[in-house]
Amino acid sequence: MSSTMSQVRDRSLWERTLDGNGFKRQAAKPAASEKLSDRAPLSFEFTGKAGEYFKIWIVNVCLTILTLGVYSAWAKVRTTKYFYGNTWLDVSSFDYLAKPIAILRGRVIAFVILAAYALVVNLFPPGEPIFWVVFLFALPWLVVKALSFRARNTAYRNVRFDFRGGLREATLVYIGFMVFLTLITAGLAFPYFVYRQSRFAVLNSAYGQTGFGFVVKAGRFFSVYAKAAGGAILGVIGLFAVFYLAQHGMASLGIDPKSASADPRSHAIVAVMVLIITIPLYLWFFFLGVYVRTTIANLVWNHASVGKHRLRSDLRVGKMLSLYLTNAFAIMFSLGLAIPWAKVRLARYRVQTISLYPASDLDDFVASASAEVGAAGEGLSEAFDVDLGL
Amino acid sequence: MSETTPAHFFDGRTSKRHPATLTCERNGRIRIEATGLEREYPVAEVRIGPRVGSIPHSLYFPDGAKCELVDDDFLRRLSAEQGRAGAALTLHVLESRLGYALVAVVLTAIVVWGALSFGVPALAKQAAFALPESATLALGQGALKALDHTLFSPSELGKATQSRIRQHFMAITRKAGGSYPYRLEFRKGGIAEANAFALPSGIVVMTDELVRLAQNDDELIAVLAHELGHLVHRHAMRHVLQDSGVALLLAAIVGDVTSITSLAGALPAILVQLKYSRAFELEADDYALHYLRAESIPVQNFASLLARLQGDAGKDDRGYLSTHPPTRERIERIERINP
Repeated sequence: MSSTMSQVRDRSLWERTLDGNGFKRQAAKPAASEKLSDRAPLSFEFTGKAGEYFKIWIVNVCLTILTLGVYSAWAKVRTTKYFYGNTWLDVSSFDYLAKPIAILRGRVIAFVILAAYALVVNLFPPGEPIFWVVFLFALPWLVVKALSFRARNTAYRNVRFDFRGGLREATLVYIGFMVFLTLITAGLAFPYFVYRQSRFAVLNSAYGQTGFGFVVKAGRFFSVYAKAAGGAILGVIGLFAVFYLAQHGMASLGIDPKSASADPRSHAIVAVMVLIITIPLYLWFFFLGVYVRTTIANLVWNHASVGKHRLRSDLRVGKMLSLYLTNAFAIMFSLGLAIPWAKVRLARYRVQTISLYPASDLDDFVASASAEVGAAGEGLSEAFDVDLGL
Repeated sequence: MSETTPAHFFDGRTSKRHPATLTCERNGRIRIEATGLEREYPVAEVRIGPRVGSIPHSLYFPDGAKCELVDDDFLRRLSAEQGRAGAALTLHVLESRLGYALVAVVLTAIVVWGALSFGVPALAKQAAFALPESATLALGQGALKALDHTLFSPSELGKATQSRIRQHFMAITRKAGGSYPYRLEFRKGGIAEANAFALPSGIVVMTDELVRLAQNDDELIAVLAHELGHLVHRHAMRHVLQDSGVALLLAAIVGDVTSITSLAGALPAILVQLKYSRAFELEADDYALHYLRAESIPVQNFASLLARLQGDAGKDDRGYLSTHPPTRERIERIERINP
């Protein structure tokens, strides 16, 4: 039935360990357990392929549309399974265990709330702020549920991850820091919120019974945002400089900028100016956004640990920027058909830049019994694009 | 058919990986052998994890243990043994053949095109008329105030002119019927130049510049009827509903692609919305033509005002990127209807 697939399939990671009917590691790649005592880093690897994922993706899209969105829950599980199953660490890959029905239930709830929101906004505009206040107070609960759902449905070597963050800390972080502290300080304390958000997400996570560690000074977050803010100010100064030059340019052509609208030459100059200013300015702010995202991701990963094992992330801003831009162009010019390719190459780069510095071999993690978590938080946080800080 | 296969066994209590040998026994049991470890489960109680792409196969056992293996033949044998070979693998088969992928591409393209061209507009039309009038009215709340702040300044037209045009307007609204609170307002357009707007709250705004551009009242009547067409056909509400429909559809396709790449989805959304706008303009034109003919006003008035508007704006037709259809096309339509 799928014999062609088994020929095409990349088994390299397994073949390293497979030898006839037994499992022996080949000497050529001793990266796994023999070397663990020397504490050589174990790098994460990604084996997903654009061509293979394209077929999965297009079937998922097609079935989702034909079932009016119901299949999207199955699509989500299959897609996540594909990406997790192709993410390897020390000859084992990750597993996604969520049940499609749970996700469907979460999405139905999210859809109903979103529809209610749309109705309120369009038919009863004064109701919108009330909606946002309710949403704000539900946000901590939402984040906790979404993080729990994601963690408990992720497994590695048949041991599930866990998230034990409490509602009290979530409320402190998402209402106390994100809303009030940021408002009071006119946004200056925002990096502190990002720090606490990351701390909340990492420190309350666990692999089996082994908790994650997170030690970093909040100042590191401030310096990332300070650099980005400096960049933004430079961008605005550049904007004014261009305006100033353009006005002088018009004056030197003998056009009075105040009564210029009648002069056809000024129309052309304005059009060119708009292009000259907006495109680089947009790219510059886009770059700053990618810079913050990438640097914060590295910062969080590099100060996180699982038990005694340290993590490391080496994402590069320039590489991320070029990936994002080429992906956006490819998707636009392929009418969306390049989406799988874009997702795979982004995932490959992200996974490959993460490594684990083991303190011992990875056999001794103990699983914990964990209860099922509903997917309402997951569905809603997805629908409202809640940033979970991961 | 292989009866044994190498696998990785995980007992579900620790993360230890046990290299193991799996055997499918003749007595309906599956045996796992590893150093210092031997387990047996009835084949019927083994849950075969869904197969996606070429990720390792997962077998989940009732006690929480799990095996990972790569042997397709073994897996096929196991599912045959369970007697439910089909379901678990159907999706995987759909997802692994180029032929099915091509069918899915074509099917998706047809469905999306059909939904955008017919489905979404038709549904939005139904919904817009099913919703109470108050819903549409709410859309326009504060719109005139906002326009007064940004675009308009008070009208400089004489009282007599204003009330004469209002008479025409009331005749048109009487014909339209319904309980909609229609009202005509005059403003100096400024950069909006010669123009007329229909706000969902039932207010039609006409600029002084347009009144001066018109050579007779019949031309103004044509414009007023066109604007009323927008209101009667509930274009504002349909616009909102259609845009939401397009957003939902695009979200289904683009899915959870990161927000930065979803930027790429914005362009097609804008193009589709412009296409809808042009369809609404033509619908409003038809309403105006219908009224003009019913009142025995030569429709040529409408065409000549459009032509003058075009000349006044002095712009080229931008067809594809414009919210309005090319004026030439609209004029030709008018002349085709009534030579």
